[in-house]
Amino acid sequence: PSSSCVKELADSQVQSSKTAALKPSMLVGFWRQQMLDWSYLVMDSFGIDREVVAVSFNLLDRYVAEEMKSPIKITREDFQLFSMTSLFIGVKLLESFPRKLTANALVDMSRGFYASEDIVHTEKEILKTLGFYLNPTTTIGFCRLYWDMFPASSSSSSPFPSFG
Amino acid sequence: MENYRIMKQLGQGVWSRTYMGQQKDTDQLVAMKKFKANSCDEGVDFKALREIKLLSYLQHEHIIRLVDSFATPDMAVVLVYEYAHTSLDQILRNRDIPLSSPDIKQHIRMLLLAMDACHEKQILHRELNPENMFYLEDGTMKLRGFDLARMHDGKPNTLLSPQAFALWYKPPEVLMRSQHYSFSADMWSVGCIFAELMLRRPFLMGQFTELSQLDKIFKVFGTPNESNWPDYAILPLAWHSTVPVPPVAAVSLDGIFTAAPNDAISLLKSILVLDPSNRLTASQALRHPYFSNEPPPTPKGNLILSSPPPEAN
Repeated sequence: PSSSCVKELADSQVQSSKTAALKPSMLVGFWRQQMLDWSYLVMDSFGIDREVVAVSFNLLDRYVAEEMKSPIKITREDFQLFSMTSLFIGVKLLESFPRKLTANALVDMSRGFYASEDIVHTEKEILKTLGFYLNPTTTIGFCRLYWDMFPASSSSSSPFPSFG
Repeated sequence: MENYRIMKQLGQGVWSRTYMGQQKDTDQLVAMKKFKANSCDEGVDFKALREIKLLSYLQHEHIIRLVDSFATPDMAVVLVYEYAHTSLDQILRNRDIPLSSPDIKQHIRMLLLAMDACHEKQILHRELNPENMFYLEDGTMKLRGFDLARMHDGKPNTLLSPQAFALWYKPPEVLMRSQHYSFSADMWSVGCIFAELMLRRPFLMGQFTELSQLDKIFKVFGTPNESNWPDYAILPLAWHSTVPVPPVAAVSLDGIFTAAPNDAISLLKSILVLDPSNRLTASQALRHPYFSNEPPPTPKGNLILSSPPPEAN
């Protein structure tokens, strides 16, 4: 399923040459949008819940915010590695069968640009930087909580049928 | 790792080892669980990540506190918990520790409070048993063992593994391979622990196999039918010969728990129900008259947690 994801990732790399004139903060925003689109594509083709993307990008944003405090500039390649690794962590946190998206699958999608050791190393860096705080609120999570506050008049009206 | 002194190994699991340790700065005792580094390239063990995530979300008086977590240079993740001195399993097995009715009331109350906190936050524990109920020196029960726990948001396509739960505490719907069980599954285990506190031995002791466990359950609660469990027929194993023929009728729990007060039996009967949708929830159970009736629960500081030291003569 990953062939289209590989192509998409390569295309976004080509496009990035047009953005050379952007300011660093805008650049990160541009990369973020590209990786977000790509992440949804990956989740859909691997049959993984899209909520994983919401969680992963929360981790990514917090990590990148910390990284941007350092004088060393984040490159496009760094950003791509950070976002792929965040996705890797998000899948482990939420997916019932985390082996659906392995480090090796991510390596394949980068056409071998990164090694699985890069992902495993970055995972540890992200976890450490975030102090192992891994519970972001997501939009859908908020909606579920909010929904629960409605009086349960009839179970058939619930968008989440219960199976007892 | 450099902040802790390891004192001794406490246990070993399939994925992890547990150690007793001491924080170097404060001399505080801690329990440390080290997840084995994965030999494959998959980085940090996802079970460790989930446990960290759940425990930091679930901060509660009766749930074990995660003091710290970190990764070692060789990719192993270490979870550091507050140190608990004993478990309900050790208390039940130590015949020198008396367990009065007010004591039992306090033990089950603390378990229900922990359960209510989990379920309110949409977390299924899935491995409740006396070995996962730990006690601090001041008598506070701390629930542990969140390796198998997971968030359960009631999404219709979420499948849950029937591999969870220890055999004697495994609810009938999970034994019949339901993949859509819910918080009521944990409540079955709570009921089994309540029964065990009163009997001072495990209540439903199946012999190694899930079939034998189901058989034990049906011998006490009767075989499932249209009236006591209307939905049982849609469970995956209902089509196989798991349900004994001819049908068995339920036995009265009053005959088994002869020493227990009536209000305790009444609560037990409302928790241990075959049909998951008819079991009390943790918050309903806490409002049961059993907890407001006399005698009040023993103050937790007065619970006896270990055998008295031998008299010096």
